[in-house]
Amino acid sequence: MKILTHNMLMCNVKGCDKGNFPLRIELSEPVSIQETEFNEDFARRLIGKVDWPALAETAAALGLYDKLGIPELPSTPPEAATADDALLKAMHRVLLEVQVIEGKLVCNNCGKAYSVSKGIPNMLLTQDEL
Amino acid sequence: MEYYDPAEDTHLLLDALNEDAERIRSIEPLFCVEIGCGSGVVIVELAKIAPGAVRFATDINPAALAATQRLAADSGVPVELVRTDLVAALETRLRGRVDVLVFNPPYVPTESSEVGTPDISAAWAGGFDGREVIDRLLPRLPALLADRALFYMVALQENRPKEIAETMRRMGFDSKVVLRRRAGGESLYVVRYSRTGAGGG
Repeated sequence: MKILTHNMLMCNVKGCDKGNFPLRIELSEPVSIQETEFNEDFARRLIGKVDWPALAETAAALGLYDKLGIPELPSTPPEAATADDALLKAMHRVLLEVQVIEGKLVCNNCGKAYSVSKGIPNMLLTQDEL
Repeated sequence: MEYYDPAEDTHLLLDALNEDAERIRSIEPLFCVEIGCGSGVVIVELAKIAPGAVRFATDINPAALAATQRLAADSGVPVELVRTDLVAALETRLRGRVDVLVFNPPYVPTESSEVGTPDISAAWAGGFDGREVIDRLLPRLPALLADRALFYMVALQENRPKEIAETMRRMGFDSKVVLRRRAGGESLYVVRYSRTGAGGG
């Protein structure tokens, strides 16, 4: 599961609709880092689709700035047209090169823990959570 | 562990997506989603048709997700996998952002009790008129799909595709049969839905 995907996942327990994003990542195995090709246009298009406070919070919580040796990401969205190369590359690396393989995604509101196993988050709910 | 192997309906969907390849590329999709990815052949094919996109594939069956993960890795195509009901865990954040949505639903008319089990039968058991899962997705589409989105869905004659088209029309979508084929006594369709006036008709 890439950080981009984490940025798109929300707790979907019935009635849990405030403070249910972003889900807190609890790793049981270090993240895996895989280099992927950087595409500037693609990165610019992604800027407006990403939740920046969640991205910055998650990158800090996982220690990705040190791990990747990149500048800190802003917690407000940069301008897509004028974002500089260093920012775009840092965003690219966090969103697309970091993979959560084993761990949990925990809702800060209701406490529901979704497991991540072999890189796949299990967001299914039990009958009484629907 | 089992998942739905590519069958006639899968091949019809692959053919329809290739038939529509230029149209798909013309909207420059950023987010592509397949609901119920099964073996993964469809989302991997879509990756070849529209390479510059993020791809999400969902299924409730973990064997299907594992199969898609393997196929995507073998094909060198990144696909993000999420085990969820339809698009439940993604739909708030992907609101209005899904550019291409593909769904080969469980469309076989069955008893309602057979729908949505965590095993392989979830891949085909569609309940009353084969419509129970389809009808759960349709009302979510106006919020989920981007303005220029293309939505491709497989349907069987028994699902009453004209009635589906009418439901979609009331929600502001045009329908167009991309391909139709008879296979093993079934009449299969792949229908493309796009917002009225978005130039998809």
